[in-house]
Amino acid sequence: MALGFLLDLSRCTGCGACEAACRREQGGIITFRQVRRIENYRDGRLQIYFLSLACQHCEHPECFRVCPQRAYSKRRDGVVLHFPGRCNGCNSCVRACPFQAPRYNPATGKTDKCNLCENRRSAGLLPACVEACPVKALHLLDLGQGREDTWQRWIEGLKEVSLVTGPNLRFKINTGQRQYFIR
Amino acid sequence: MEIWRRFLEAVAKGEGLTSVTRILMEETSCPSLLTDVTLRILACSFPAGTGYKFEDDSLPLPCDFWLRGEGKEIYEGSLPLGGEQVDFLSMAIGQQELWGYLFLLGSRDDRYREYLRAASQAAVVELSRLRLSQEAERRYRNEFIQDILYNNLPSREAIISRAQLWGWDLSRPHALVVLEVREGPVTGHQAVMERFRNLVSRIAAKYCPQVILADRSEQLILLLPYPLQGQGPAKIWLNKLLQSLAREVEQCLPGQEFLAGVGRLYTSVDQLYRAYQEAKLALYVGRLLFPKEKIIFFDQLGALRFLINQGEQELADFYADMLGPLEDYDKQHNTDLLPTLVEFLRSSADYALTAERLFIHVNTLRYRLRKIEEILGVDLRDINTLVNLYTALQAKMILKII
Repeated sequence: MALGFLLDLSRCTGCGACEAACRREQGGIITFRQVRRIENYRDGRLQIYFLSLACQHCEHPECFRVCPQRAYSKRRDGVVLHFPGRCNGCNSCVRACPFQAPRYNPATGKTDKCNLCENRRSAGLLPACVEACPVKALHLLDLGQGREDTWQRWIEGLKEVSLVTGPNLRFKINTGQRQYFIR
Repeated sequence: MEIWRRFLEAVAKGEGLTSVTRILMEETSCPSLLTDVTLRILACSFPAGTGYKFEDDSLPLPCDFWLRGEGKEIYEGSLPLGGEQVDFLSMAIGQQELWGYLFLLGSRDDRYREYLRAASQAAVVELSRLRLSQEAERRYRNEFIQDILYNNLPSREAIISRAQLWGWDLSRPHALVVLEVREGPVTGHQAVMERFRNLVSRIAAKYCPQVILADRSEQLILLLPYPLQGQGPAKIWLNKLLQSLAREVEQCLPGQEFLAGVGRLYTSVDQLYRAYQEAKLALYVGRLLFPKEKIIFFDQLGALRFLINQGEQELADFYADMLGPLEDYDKQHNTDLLPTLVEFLRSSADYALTAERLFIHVNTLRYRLRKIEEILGVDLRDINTLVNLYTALQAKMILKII
């Protein structure tokens, strides 16, 4: 099992509902999800789309490797967890993560990160960001089911990000069908 | 048909692998052996008064002996035993996947072929039973090791006490090595991986009996207790061990190349999770930057590992800044200045060696290097320049532009 996210680029409108849901879930102080607007010129055409990014629960997490306090672990289902009790707020993980997914929480003086809404999932619910998406662009994905080649691993908008950590993030682009929000 | 009935009865009673070799021996009066794919003897039966001694419980044959049979159902050959060549008949066990071999020693009699066929079918059933129990053990062991490598256990003490249940002493410092086959998944890949795992397990145990082996998707993970005489001697010891391992595995798996990534050496088991990530990173970076190397230590990557954490755009920009003008010049004037610079850096800035490798005169090389200096506006005798150009070339390797 290797849980991660699937983002349907042709559906995402960049409304930020996922970001808001994450913030609400974290008590309104910080959000672990951020929506970026990407603009690219492709074949002379301006292409605009949105990337909703959080912790990608990487296969080779750098946050996990660099943490001097052993504050990270990766569970058998692939979820990378952070234990705030061990964290001393040194921010090594924030700098190491290609997505800057761990966030420094000024209220606690420690970093924290997305745990794929552990509490919600144990109650049988989807992560808050996935549930909040009004256009069903964000999905929870199990890459251990051998279907990972169905989706794209890389898109132009990630060219400033190193993918050496093997993020469990995939993209769906409906090139041949109606595209809602890519233009 | 009688022979088939005997084997069928033995299998139905679940008498085990030894019953297969025993019946074969009783019917033929020849010593019979059953081995796994690495030629390790799993069961054997000898007529009264005969017997052979085997080193490491293995048959003294190359692992690829079966390929010489050119696809024949039964292989005829001879092997050195007790100072003399002994004839044998051999048959593979397993149809879709190779599970092992059956051997009948001291005879090449055609009458025994049917006996081998029947014994091979019985062995498939018995081996599948054995594998079921082995698979369960392997799964639990892998899960425990995965918990160590993903920092899922609360403390060093918890790891050490749980490891004792498996008979492992993790209070000693262990080196962590990740192994993989260079080629990606191909037809019959599962069988190759199975063989690879068996071979590594057997050969590594020969060099280091306390080795712990786990597997995770396409990779094998070795935990090797290393001698506590400082980092340097431990690395030399590890390097020698891995080279011997690579040599022996490659002999047994012709056409397959073996790669190893080694994490930093930590003295405490609760740091193994870090060594695991480092070993994987060493493998990944080594594949890109040192394609000829088989064993890559994380330490050996040095400053290059920082490149890997850079985004594609940043690497492309850096390369364009450093070597873009030279590439453009080559394109416009149809020259070979960039390949010359690449060879110069690969030859550690040695003029004679570079000229020899490029099949040009040293004076031609000097002329080209002067031209490069002129185009890039740099001094190739300056160490900072060389480091920057070398790093730019590695960035290009990462971008797979080359």
